[in-house]
Amino acid sequence: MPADVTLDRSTPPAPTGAGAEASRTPGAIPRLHLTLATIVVSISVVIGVRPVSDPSPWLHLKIGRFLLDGGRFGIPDPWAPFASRPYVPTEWLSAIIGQEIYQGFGLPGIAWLRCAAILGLLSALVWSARRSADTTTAVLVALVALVGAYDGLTERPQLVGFVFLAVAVGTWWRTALDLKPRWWLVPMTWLWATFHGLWSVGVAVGLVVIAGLLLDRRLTRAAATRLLAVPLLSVAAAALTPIGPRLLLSPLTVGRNASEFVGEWQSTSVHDPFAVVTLAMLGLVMLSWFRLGRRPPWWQIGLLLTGVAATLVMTRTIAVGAILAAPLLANEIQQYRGRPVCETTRRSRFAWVALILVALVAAAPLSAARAQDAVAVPDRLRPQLSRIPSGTVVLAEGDISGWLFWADPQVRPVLDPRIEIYPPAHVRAFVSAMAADPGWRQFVNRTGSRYALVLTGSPIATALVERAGWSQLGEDAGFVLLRTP
Amino acid sequence: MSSDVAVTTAEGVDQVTKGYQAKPRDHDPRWLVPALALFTIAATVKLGIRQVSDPDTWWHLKTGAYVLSGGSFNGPDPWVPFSSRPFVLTQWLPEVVAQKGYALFGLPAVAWLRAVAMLALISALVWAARQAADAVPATIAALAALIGTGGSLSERPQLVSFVLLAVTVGAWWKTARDLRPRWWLAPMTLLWACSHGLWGVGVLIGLAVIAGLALDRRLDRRTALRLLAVPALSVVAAALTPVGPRLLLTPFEVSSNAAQFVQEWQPTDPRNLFAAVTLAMITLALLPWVRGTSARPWWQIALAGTAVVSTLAMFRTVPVGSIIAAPLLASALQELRGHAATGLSRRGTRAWAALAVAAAIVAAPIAAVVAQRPSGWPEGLRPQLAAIPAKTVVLNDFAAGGWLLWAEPQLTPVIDLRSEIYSMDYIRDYKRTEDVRAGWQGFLDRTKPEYALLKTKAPLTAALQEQLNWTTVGRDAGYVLLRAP
Repeated sequence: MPADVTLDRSTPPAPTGAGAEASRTPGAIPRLHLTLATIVVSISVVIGVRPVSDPSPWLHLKIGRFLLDGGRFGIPDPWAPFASRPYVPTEWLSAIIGQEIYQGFGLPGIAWLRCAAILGLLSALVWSARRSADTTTAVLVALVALVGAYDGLTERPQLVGFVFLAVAVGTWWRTALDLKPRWWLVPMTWLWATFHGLWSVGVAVGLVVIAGLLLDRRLTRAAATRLLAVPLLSVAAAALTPIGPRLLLSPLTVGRNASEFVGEWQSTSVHDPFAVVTLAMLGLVMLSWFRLGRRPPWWQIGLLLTGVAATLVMTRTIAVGAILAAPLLANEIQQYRGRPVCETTRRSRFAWVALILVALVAAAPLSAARAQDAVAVPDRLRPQLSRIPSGTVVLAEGDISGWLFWADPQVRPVLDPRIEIYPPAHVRAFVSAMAADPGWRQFVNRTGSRYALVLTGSPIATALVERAGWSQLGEDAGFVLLRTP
Repeated sequence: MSSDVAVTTAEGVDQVTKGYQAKPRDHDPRWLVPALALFTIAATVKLGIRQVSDPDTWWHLKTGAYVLSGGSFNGPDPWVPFSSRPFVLTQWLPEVVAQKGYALFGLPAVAWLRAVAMLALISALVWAARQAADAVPATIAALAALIGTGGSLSERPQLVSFVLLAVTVGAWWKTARDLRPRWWLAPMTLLWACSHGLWGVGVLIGLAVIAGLALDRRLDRRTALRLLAVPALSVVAAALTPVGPRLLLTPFEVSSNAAQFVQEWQPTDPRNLFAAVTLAMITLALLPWVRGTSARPWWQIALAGTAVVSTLAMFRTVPVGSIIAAPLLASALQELRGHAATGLSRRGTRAWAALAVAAAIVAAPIAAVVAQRPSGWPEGLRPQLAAIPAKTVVLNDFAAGGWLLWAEPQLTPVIDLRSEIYSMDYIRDYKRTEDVRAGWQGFLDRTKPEYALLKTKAPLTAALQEQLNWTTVGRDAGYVLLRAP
């Protein structure tokens, strides 16, 4: 098949033309684009610059510090006395970068980093959608996708994973059009695998597109082999990070415990507004397919089904659905408008980059003003926590234990967010104890917990105070610190 | 209509079906349809005959007895003094029928009624699917829908709703093809409104189809008004039950409480087996739409959209999605056969009816053997419960409230599954106590229970025993009866 064949017969090609848009309304359209892009980028900055509030970054910062100091994980775990498996720091590069930034700039540095990643995601989404749609459509759809992904836009390594995923989706979209393999996805996957475990979704997207192209009968054996080499080499690259081949199995290890006990690994509720936005995007794509009577190619159907499955399967992957939905929706809107796609010019690319750079510069002082203090963590309890003797076991609420690691490294939480390192029976007993189910007292005794940092008024807090006579040392941000009598 | 005559299609109704009219017809083997019918009926009886176990059944039986003894359809609750809202009898008709059956034949009659209702449901599903497809695809789609509804096929009035919903969907499918109003839907809605609160969904289905037909530009003003008269008259009919116009507002009253506290009113977990089956049905139904070359009519898109929303909105409405999906799936399977569907023959209808009646007769002695005693309820504690003085308040497990009301009517449970009769504040108070969160003893002061019937492994059981020294009177079926000191 010639390399310049872009679309099969059943898919009307999105015509492109360098001057098409400019020739319609010279002068006005670029200004409109610039205004729109400025508004969208500004909204992204507003979304991005806020205090550090996610419970996860604290653990990542601590891991970053540990690795920078030359520490290595094993059994026994350096911090968790009840771990039964060695921790694999799959997100080591993001942890190190986060820690370095924190060392230099404190919490505002982390907030700025999040904002930068959000702007990176926005840019990747625009790029992904831009192949099949004009700037206006691509930018607006990217903003909607950003809203759909909002739940995942926190100061965590997964945000970098989303940026890479948007790039991978855009890349495979281009491959589906021109059937050219993008070999650079292989080194990109290596880099991605050092940041976050979502790299495997990028590989899956590649396989879905190739399977779709095969169903569309657009691939010769040679072309199929060449394209298949990209995801295969990507997997090989992921096995070559400093973690080694065991990285390939880590998603399964994490998923086994997390899917049972961690909220964001539970299936999505359609009452979640971000799920609604994402499903609405995918629903509009389907509506277009049903009504326009234009047979979409199988590879697009594959991407849509993957997007729906990702959105519904767990809260954590709603953002994956939104990222997959972006180019699909942009393509349908462009088809509906019936206009040829105006090619990206070097000037417009420079303008976008300049806009992002300006936004990044503006985000720095805004972060310094808004993100000096963390929220949703019991910072005012630090004096009491610092007096706890070194090595003391603390019964800490699962989410806050990461912060406890970071804030008071001398204590030992019974469980922490690295849930994959604990035996399932221990995690189950912890969950049961937090609900004050029968047997909670045995769990407290067995773990030798002398202090507790738990939610104020929670079943376990009530049981410890009322039934075990623990005393309250302090209360902050919805948490109460208790001590055994 | 003879069996080999194609279904009549109105002008412009169904482009896909019309496109297949000229093609030669497949002939199923002569044994296939009877074998499939036999399997379907036998499987339905097998699923339908089991012990009575649903927690709601008991208060429905009690309500039936209440109506038969001249109780009010709308007034203060006669049994639980802690209720603060009126008890509106929205499901009195099946409650009366079940109570009559129970009075005559005991629990086997209730189990038999469930089996009969399931036979009626599968029959209605096949009928609805037959509007869109031949016997084989229709039966396959109906079976899939029966599995999709499987999580809700218990001995409750909602089963009647499912049957009538399937009839309604089939009726509107017919209307969408010939544009003739089915006036009998209005009196049927009266019957439905005496049986269960889901009658409103039937009205919504009608409105969705009419809106779709209007968007398809198939309705002139006169036809639209005639069709709109059907749901309008249905609403009027629903207001004419013994409950009166107040019935129209009860769905909102029930949902405002239940949506927060009752599990089946929570958003659906897409990984739930029944939801997954239903979503798979919808996906299979939509696949030919995506790959087809003609625009799909809006009324079918509206039905598909309603099915998706129902399936994902809450676990309780997964069966609604399944039932709506049945004719959609049947239609998609019919497209694979490549020709238009044949109509229902009188002989085939009679044969099916005879088979269903025979199955209902066979089910009677089986139910008598299988369902003599309830399953999952602490029948072994009846002697101890009977020994408790009349009017004593029992702190009960939420799900066991109905059983306690029915089994030991002289006792006063603090709550039962009719969440709509309690104030939000009261239920919140109860939940706090159930979870043993801070202030949990306040509810005990408010209700002054002397006994408790709780799950053995509930946090509240441990708290009452450990903290307030309640003693164990007996245990059975995972429940424990406690007495205050």
